[in-house]
Amino acid sequence: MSEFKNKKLKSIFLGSLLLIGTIITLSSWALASPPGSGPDDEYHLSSIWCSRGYRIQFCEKSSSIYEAKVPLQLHRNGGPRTIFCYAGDSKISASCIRGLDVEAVTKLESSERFNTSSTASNFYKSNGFLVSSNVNGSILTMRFLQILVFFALISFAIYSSGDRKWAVLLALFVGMVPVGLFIIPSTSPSSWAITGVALAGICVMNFFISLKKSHRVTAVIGFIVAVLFTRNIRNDINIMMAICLTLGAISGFVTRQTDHSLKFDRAKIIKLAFFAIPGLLYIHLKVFSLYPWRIAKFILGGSFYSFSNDSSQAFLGFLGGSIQLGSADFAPPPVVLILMSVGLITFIVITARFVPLKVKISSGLGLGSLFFFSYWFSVGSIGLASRYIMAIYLVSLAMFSASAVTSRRLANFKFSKSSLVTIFLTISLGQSLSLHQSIRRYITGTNISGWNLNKGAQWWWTYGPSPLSIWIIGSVAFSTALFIVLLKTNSDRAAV
Amino acid sequence: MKRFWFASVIALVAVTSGAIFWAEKNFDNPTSRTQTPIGYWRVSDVRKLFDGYQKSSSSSEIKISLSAGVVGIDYTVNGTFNMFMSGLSSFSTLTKVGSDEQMYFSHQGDLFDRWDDIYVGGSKALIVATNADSGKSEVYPVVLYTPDFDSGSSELVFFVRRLRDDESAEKLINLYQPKSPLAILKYDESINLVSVELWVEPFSTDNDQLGS
Repeated sequence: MSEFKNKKLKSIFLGSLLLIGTIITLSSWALASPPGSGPDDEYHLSSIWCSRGYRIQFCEKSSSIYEAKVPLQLHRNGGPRTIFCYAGDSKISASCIRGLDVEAVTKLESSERFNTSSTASNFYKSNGFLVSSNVNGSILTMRFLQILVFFALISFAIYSSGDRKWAVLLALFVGMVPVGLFIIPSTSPSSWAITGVALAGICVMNFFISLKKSHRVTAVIGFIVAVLFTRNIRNDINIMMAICLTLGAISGFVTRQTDHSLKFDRAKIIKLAFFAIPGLLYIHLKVFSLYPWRIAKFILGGSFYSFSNDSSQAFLGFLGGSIQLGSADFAPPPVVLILMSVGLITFIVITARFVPLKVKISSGLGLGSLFFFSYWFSVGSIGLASRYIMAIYLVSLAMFSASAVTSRRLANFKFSKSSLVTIFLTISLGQSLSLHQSIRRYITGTNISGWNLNKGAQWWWTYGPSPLSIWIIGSVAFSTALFIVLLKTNSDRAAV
Repeated sequence: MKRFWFASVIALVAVTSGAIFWAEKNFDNPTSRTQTPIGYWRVSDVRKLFDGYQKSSSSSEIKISLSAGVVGIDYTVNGTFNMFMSGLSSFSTLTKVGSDEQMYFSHQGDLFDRWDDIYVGGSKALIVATNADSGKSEVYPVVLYTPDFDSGSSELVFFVRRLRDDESAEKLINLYQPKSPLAILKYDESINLVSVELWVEPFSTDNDQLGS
């Protein structure tokens, strides 16, 4: 009895430590970049400022009905008199924010660059509650709101995963560095989109795999919450949701949890064929017109360069290999790409031995679709960015990792020490170096090097720890959290 | 094994804490010296901003404060002084009396144009500063009127007079509670002050001059 209590206490302690570590990691990323550094932030911030109608100082009537007056510092065409004054040249720091003149900070200028449609209106309106006269303070508070939303949403995915929770967490830790860690605490609607769509996919998978009623109920609630949160959040959200739900459903249907072992459930597969396939075909073919011949024609008729270059860039972005962070003018150092690639490959190789073939195929389809959608977006008017397709990447990794835990080969499963060390070192170092480079970009510009981020800093928040402290705290917190996840994934599996 | 983990955790905590302590000790935040104005000043917005849009909402008392690096006060004629403020902060701070609600307004707008309309007969104020000659901190109760920018937004000029015998600064002193001793401006004399805070008597948001 006391051994059981001890075990439970240990789990609670490690769980709390993991939660604190993850909160600190995301908070460090929230502080690592200045206001306005998020992707397309001039549009998103203006939309947030105007989300609750006309308000003195924040969003005022303009002479044109197509425009509204927003603070000049949030204005797209304000040039050096905006909080985006550093964007576009990674060699200059964000010190120009300090030099904004009174008029830049206080004057309102007409702009037509703000959201007038229903797209992402929930995101903008929720953040609109936090708008205040203090622009910097408001933006920072909004970043912490996004962290809160992330934890609230992802808790459904973790709880409904039951015994697979550590495997799902490991997949998220591997998949989130570095782009996810930047986007989640940002003022971009992609924050909610990535969290919500990944949650929906994982919840669908859990609903079909789980045997426990409480897990299935949580999965249903999580799914509903995810759909409500992400409804209309981005123009492409429905298609992302359809892909992730399909991946989750396939993974859930082909595997069945039977006391830590896996069986392919033929009855379920027949049910899938009977019920799900017509529905999924309808969504994919009729709603999104994804006819195979149309896709083939699209690929063959499009730009080969986009397929061979842009799609790969989007994938490399997940690993820190392309310009996907901050003001889109810098990338983490190349060593991050190497570290993250080694970490991801190690994760896939050691997990793949325990993943059923059908899940390998469906995960492969999910990861393969990343290339197709990257291509689609790069050819289309929407442009290309890793964050647009990140949810598919996370769901693919989560279903891959989770299915290994429910595998029948689990009894023989244990991470080797070398694999553990490799994943731990590569991913935590990759995270640490990305965070360092992100802070470096904004406090001095990337042409200055050196580990000491405090030295020569030209910009920083007026409150909170120093840049060097944030880097140390963020690195230690992430490494501790990852260590716990690896430890628990390994010990839980080994104990079976 | 337990000892190993325990020692590792202690070592990690110690090294991390030490590193953070060192980092904080050696960091000179470049932004901490920057004062950024927040919001913009328009007299007609004051009531809406502090009292809300509801007509039934009760009125508020708003106090204004300004700060400047250097102030020169010169006697002119007929008991009037000319107060020249340079190194003026880029914003005025408006605070709702009885609460911590505070707003910062840049000097762009019409505050100083309409000063004499809002404060008919001048506004009582406390000049809290260090005397440049004696180095002592002093508080001068005065009446301010007709402000005007001298050149640019960092130099402001007020006409100033001493309080008359029938006027009292007691309410202001109770409100702001200055810690330095009171002093009186002397006729026919000029004084130079540094690190100046100008604390102005509150005005009511019911004031018709604020507009609707």
